[in-house]
Amino acid sequence: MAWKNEIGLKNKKWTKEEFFAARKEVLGRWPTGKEIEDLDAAVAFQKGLADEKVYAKAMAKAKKEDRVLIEIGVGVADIDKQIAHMKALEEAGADSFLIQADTYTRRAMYKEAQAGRDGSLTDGKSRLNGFPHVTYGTKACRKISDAINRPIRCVGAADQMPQLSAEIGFASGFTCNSAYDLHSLAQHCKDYPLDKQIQNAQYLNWLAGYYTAHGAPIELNLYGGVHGWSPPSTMSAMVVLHGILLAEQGGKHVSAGSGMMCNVLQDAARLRVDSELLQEYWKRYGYNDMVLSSMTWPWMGDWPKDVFQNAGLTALSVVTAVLGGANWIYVKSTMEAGSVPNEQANIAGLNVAKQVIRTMGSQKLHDHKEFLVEKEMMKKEARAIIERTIELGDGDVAIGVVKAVEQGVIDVPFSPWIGFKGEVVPVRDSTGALRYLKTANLPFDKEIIEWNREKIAEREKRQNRKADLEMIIADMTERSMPIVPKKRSASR
Amino acid sequence: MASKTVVTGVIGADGHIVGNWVLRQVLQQEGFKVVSLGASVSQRDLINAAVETKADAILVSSIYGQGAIDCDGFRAKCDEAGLKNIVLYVGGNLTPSDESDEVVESKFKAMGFNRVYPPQTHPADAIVDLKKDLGL
Repeated sequence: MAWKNEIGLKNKKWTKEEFFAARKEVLGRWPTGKEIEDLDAAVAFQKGLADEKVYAKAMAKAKKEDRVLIEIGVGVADIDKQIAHMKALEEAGADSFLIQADTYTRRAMYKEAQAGRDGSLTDGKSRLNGFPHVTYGTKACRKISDAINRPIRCVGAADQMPQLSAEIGFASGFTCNSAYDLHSLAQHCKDYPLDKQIQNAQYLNWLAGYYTAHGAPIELNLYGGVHGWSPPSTMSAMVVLHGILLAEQGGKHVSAGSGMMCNVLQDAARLRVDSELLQEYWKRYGYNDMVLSSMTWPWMGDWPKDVFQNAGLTALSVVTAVLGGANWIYVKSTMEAGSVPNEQANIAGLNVAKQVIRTMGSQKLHDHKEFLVEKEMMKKEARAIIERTIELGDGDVAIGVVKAVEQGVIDVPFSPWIGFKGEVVPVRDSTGALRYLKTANLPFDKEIIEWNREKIAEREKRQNRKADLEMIIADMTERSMPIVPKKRSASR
Repeated sequence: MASKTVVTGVIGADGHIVGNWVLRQVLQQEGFKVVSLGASVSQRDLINAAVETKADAILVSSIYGQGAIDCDGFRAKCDEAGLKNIVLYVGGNLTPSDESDEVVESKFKAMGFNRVYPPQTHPADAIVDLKKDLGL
């Protein structure tokens, strides 16, 4: 399916008039929007937060002290249980929090979110897979930022139409939000139009820029890692392109985020590639004074049910993030395979991460030969996609991204979003690094295509099998199985 | 043997597609005709596809934990649409809390699903059951 730019989308900073006209409609999407009509009052509230509650400030302090922060996610329907869970984690040493909004809230399905919240309170058990902050509204949600002495990120922008979610989040004292547009469609959406989603992200980034310009810095998380099969250079290109769009709207504090694919060298290289390319392109486009940090999100594929196998994956993610130079790391619980985490499972994940960080100290990858090759090739691949996208838009990245998706220049495999061509096929090489088996319309030259082929051929030779669908399926299903496979059985 | 038709999809507001993609590949390898609706699929979409294609089974995936909300009333709607006794399977992370596989299974069987699969079920295992249930 081809997606056109049907709304005259451009990469141009919104005027104050354009923003406030759009804001009227945004706040009308759910009754709780009425609580925050006065934007300057909301900004003043954020400005009054103690430094320890502000992501950008906590990040600056941590960098000065050479510390790596650990962020933990909590999301349940009952606000009192949400606060109690976060309090327990704060006492256990969590450095910052992600409030995981439920999927209905993230999809702007506020009626369903309200019904889920109300039903959960009646049942005494959460029916939702996250915290419905738009349902609760700002007055109630400020109880959270009052109670918790750590910075809070709210993932309400994870899917489509993030504007009201971000407005309520920021006004509630949550000082970080996700800032991605195409990525959010790639990860969780079905058929929401790309041009409208980029426009939605422009609103969010302008809002963050407004807060920031008025003394309340908002940290924007630019994340690339759709699932466990996201080719790193495609993700990197998307992060950089989003970074240009974000900066145009006034966003200043950025945490570039990468999802772990579980090859240490490739994942560590990704952290450096994103940072280096973002700084290069921001300079090229004249966006100065950007404050850049980097973060990681753990493995986004299948997780083992066994808590110790789970801990092994968490430890690997944290080792990789430290080696790559991440400033903060999101850590999953030991219940990741099954359900929304409880306190004990989150504390277990936190302890695994903290032990790794304590033990590793300041170890980082620098001049490791294969690491440098990985970095160089990933940059070549990402640049090819970025440059072709810029060319398609005649220098306008917003126009370019829509055309690039239409032509398969940006193509994310295994995405639920029907806007991609879906012709790129990734496969792991013998070290577990993700390579391109089919490059389809990606604008790669012969050197890049050959390099990927050689890496895949090494695995074929070593394992005496063809890189095909069977290999991909086996890789997708075997990683999380018990160490000693149980006898296969049907359902009871 | 005429091949049997199976409708698959990830139900509700759920966008997690990778497991569903694997399921489709393995079903096709085993000779099933697969009508794959992708992610974020409503009960109505699944039913309409099953009616149009005279499907023999509907395999529902749910990963994000809100499956109990999304599957509520599904069997009754299938009956209303003339799909009485169609084989219904559901699999994935079906509830947001840490309930045992047994509790989850009985919850979803009470909703009218023939079989209920926990996380980490290999598609091949479900297909063994499917062949049995469809008389293959």
